[in-house]
Amino acid sequence: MRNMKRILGYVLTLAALAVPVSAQPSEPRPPEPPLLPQAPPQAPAGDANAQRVTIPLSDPSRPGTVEMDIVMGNITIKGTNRRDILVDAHTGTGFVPRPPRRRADDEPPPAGLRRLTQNGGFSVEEDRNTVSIDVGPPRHIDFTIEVPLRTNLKIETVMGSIVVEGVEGELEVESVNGSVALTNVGGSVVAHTVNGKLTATIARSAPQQPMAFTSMNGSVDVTLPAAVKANLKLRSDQGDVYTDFDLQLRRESSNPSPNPDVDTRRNGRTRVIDVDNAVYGSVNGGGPDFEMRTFNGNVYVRKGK
Amino acid sequence: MEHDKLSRLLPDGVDQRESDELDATWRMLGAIEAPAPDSERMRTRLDAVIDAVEQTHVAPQPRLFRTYVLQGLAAAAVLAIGIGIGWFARPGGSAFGGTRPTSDTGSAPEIAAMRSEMHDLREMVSLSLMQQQSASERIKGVTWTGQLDRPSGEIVSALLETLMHDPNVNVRLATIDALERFAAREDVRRGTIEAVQRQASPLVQVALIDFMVKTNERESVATLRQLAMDPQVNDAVRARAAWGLQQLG
Repeated sequence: MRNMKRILGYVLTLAALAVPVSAQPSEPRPPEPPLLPQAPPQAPAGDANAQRVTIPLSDPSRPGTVEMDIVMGNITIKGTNRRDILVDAHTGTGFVPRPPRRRADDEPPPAGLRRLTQNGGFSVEEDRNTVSIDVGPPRHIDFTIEVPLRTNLKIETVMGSIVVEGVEGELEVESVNGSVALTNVGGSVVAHTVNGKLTATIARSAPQQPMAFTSMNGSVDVTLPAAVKANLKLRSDQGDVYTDFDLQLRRESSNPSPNPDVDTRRNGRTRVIDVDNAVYGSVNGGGPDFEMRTFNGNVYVRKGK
Repeated sequence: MEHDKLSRLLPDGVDQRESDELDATWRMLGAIEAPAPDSERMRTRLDAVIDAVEQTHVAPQPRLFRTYVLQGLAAAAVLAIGIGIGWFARPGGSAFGGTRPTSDTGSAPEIAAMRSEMHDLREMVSLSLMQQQSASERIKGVTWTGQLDRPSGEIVSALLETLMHDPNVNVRLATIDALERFAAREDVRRGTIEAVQRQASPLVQVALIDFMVKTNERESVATLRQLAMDPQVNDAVRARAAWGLQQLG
């Protein structure tokens, strides 16, 4: 009878949830909030080739999202106690040839004149808590961005490295020709680099959220909280996998093949190891899937504090 | 804990595995949108939903809209199933003052109906997760398909769509693992062969070549040969394709 009430409780709670959620799309929309005025980039005093922009979030009580997808430049993102987003852009260190007749960005203006054009060549926009940073024609710009501690990231660069420190949220980070280093981050991480090393230290993992850390030509080195509950999918095609976690090895993947048309002998243990050199195992009783994978390099999974 | 109570409650017609699945589904639903019924958080949640709906109008994103509808439907389905379980689980048939006989002889078809509803619900959850903005949620949706008993064609199409078009490398990688159990299907074989040619990520290409070797996909030989000879293709991928040809040949 007690249990009965409990079940009824669940059912009623779910019903209560179902009504507002399913009713939402048909609700009349409130008027669009006006776009916030954009702060023009300003050069910090004393540094002619740096530009600084501060941009507020529409709703600082909710985690914002920073989105950027650039071609050339390093990106550093730091979680701080601020409620807005601070973007520092630094040009002039690039290896990109500039158009021949363009003045160098770091050249001081002629005496008595001030520069009207912006040398940053990037724009920052905020729309409903999502801050998008865009760079115009491909040029090398390094970004240092300060964000609130709880912020979601969608960050990509082609020629450059990415550093993220002390940010908690849904972190999606990708580089092609650079390293990715995440320190003291929380939430869920989905990170990839093609030609670089990937290191990550996770301080707090979001419960039930899968994560992935992958590289093509670099090692993958991930430190997870000692108490993390996860199913690990570990593979290195041309290297080895190391861990100090007490890993309960499983013989098959989380997607067993019940399909009788697939020859199970070929999917048996030896075959799987032959083909993808994969190790499947759970830590602390198992949980969401964490994939750590590289083609050329080793995979390290370390137990944090 | 909940799990133990559930399994005690379930009648003999429902086995352990099924109650495990039920348990997992509830946990899964809890993990999606779960606004707490206290008004402060409800309000912010509501604002978030309104924001999201607005966004769909600014830049048309029918996917997002569909997600909310699906979640609503999913919640409604759970409600129905919950009532079903409550009915079956009445101790001695005395709940609601009913006089239903205690034997479960008549419940087999109802359990079958419940099972099929359960299945539909879990498919819906998978599909809806695969449409989310967050890569982690999409990986969750992809992995979740591994727990479906007899997934419909819609699930397989969604996985193939994700393999082809998902912007995130790690989501595409997870999809390859999930597609392994469908390797006998013609559309999956065609889809993976097409994907290995179009794929921008070398890591995904290598994973697809491994997939073809693992599932003995002999139709891929011509494509692998092409990859192995193409000087534009990443060296490691070319070497892997050559190795794949050797294994399949």
